[in-house]
Amino acid sequence: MTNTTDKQLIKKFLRNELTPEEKVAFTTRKEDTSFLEAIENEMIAVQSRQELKKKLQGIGADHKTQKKTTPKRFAPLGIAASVILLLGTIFFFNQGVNNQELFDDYYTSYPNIYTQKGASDDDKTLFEKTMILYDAKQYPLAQQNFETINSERELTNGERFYYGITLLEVNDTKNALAQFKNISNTSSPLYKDAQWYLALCYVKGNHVNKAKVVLTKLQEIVGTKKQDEIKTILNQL
Amino acid sequence: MNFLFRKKESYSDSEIISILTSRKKHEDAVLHFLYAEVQPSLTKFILSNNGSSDDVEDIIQDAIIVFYEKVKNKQLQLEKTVSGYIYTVGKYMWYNKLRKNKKQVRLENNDFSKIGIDEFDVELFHTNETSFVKELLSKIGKACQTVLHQSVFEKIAMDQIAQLNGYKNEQIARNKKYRCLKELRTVIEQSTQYQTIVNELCYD
Repeated sequence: MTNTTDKQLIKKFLRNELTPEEKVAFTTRKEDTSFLEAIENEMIAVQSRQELKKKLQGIGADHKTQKKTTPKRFAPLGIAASVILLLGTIFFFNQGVNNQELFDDYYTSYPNIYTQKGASDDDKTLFEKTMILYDAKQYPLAQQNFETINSERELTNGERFYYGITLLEVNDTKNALAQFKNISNTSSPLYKDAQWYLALCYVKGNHVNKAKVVLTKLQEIVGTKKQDEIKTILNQL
Repeated sequence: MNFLFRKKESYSDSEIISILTSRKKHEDAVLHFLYAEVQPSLTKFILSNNGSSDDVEDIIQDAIIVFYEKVKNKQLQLEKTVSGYIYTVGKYMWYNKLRKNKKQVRLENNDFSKIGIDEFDVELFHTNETSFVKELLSKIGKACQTVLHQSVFEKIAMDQIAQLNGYKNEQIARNKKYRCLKELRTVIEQSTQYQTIVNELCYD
């Protein structure tokens, strides 16, 4: 841990505010490897704090928006109740509510089901390596990898699905929508989830009628209990 | 397959520290949670002490950054609760700012040393510093910046860094880090700011 005097010297060096006496002290210290390491570490921290600040500014903006317009929060609900809230808010959208907030309320990324435990790096495919990035929320890097895979061959439904989530995470809704739309094989285990995210993409893009169409179709393939509940909601719109 | 819906999470202090220390998946959710937790108390404090709503947002963000770093560096001295800690840091930051703007402040008992923070911990952003650092780090390239950020700031283990950056193994990541630090040192020593100090004293 850097002592207070060194911390002061380093901060003032970086700010170009060293007094003549401090410059002498700095020059004396500069031969010390640990002092130089502390300068390097502080520089990295200065930049990293900027990035964290941007993230927190985004969080702050979210909180401001939620305070202004979001209706009362509900405890976690099953699909039907959440769809009720989703469709209800889509109705309010027609009178001017921002669907971005609705998207933000209900979007969450999907867990990775493709983890290959134990395989060495040499054995991992590019998709498997990409899913490690996905797990670590390194979405821009994951996006690049997906683009590479996509340029080399047709994506599988699984790859397309996670590519879609990755694109949502980097705020590329248009291309995310395209990925989910292309998971058209209804026997795919990810089809229903893909339809859900497709509906969310339509909500985010304010395509209310298309969202309703997707949700209506979704109603037909989910369990019985959920079917009745969604039907009731749609009849009320 | 279950559909995933956003749930509003609540975290205990030990969960917050554990998630931030081990860089678990819910780190962003924890940051959201912390923001919501400290917002009411810091809003009240700052607005009743010559602050604006913009000041509130700024201080909340900066106080969370200080907490985040202390956790990552295993330097957190928690007297009571996490939200209490962040509130205290925020108060100190605000007092500091008022003093620098030469505004009269009525200081309460100084709790700040008890939680192991000083003025250098709380003055996070300074224009000269930011631009100098940005200029020098740009010379070592994005890949180096990423590896150094992950290793030095986020305290991610080297094997994970290897995976995140597509390096074949941990040793390659380690070598990359070493080369990046070496490059950074050269850039620092060749900078005008550094050379000016060294040369000034040589000519004395």
